[in-house]
Amino acid sequence: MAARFSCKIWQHCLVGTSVHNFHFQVGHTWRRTKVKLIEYAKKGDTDEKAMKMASFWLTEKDLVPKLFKVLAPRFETQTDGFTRLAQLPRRENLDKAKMAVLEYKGNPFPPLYPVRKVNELTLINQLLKAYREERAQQRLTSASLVSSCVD
Amino acid sequence: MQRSNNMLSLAGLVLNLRQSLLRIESRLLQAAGLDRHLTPALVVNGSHVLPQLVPQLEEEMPEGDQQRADQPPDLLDSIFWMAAPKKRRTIEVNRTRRRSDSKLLKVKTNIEPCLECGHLKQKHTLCSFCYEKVRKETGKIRAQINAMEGGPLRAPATDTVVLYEGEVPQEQDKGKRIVELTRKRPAWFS
Repeated sequence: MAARFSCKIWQHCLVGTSVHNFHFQVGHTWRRTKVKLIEYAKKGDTDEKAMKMASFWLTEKDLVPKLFKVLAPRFETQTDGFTRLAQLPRRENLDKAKMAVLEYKGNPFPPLYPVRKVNELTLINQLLKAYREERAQQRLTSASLVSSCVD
Repeated sequence: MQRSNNMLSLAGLVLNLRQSLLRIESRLLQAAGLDRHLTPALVVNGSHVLPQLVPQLEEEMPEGDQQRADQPPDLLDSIFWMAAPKKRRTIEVNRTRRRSDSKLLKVKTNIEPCLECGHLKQKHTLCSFCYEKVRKETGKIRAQINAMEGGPLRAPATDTVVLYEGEVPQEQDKGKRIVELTRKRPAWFS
């Protein structure tokens, strides 16, 4: 696969994050390769096949120990779902290529998907909370009224 | 002298007779259609498929010679059978073709505003504005990492943690490489 020789891209891959892909389909292929790498790395440092695979795919040899010591333990408990592939808007150039971002989960870089925080102390949330409580109270009083009528 | 003249005229007469007889014979053969075996059986040229369209009574024999010589059919013969429009397409017809539904721009219904920034984005993609922020910040972090490492091929075999100004490493950050940035933590980066 051509990606084996585009070592700069693999450097980004292993340093932990994001890769700008040319095409979404390429992103899928690389994702499978990355997942396969992790699966091989999980076999352990001493496994010959795993070491061969790692040294072949990672052209930058300082990333091979990082794969075995950092990434494999990180995904020890997981069987799949090591990577995140997100689609980007098309490139601004004339070619309007489909772009994608590929990353390993658990990287130190800023997250691709924004983390939604729900703040209870905002005005709207406080008003909604009060409204909910009022409605609950109304239901209780109307229920008690109905039961008293029936009785 | 007279005798030679007579002789010449006699020879000429015989010659004429012979020629006329040969001509009559060839005409009879043509009429009967018996001289066809000389021409090749499978000879196809555009000009000879439908002889009634173009009168080629005199042209048949020399054309036959040409085919026997195995030359390719001329363009000038075959242009008589090429497709060409019969009538001018009216502007109404043209308009209906040019503005048909398949050629108009399709309406996209998968555009929605991003909940974080409010810019428009497609449902299945990341917001371009938010991603640009992420990309810039990642670039800065990477620059700091490069400065710390000092050169290529020096990545340590440890996890990394990014700390901004005034942040202290927590318990879970033990054993990790600390990348410090002298900037305030962005609000969107939890």
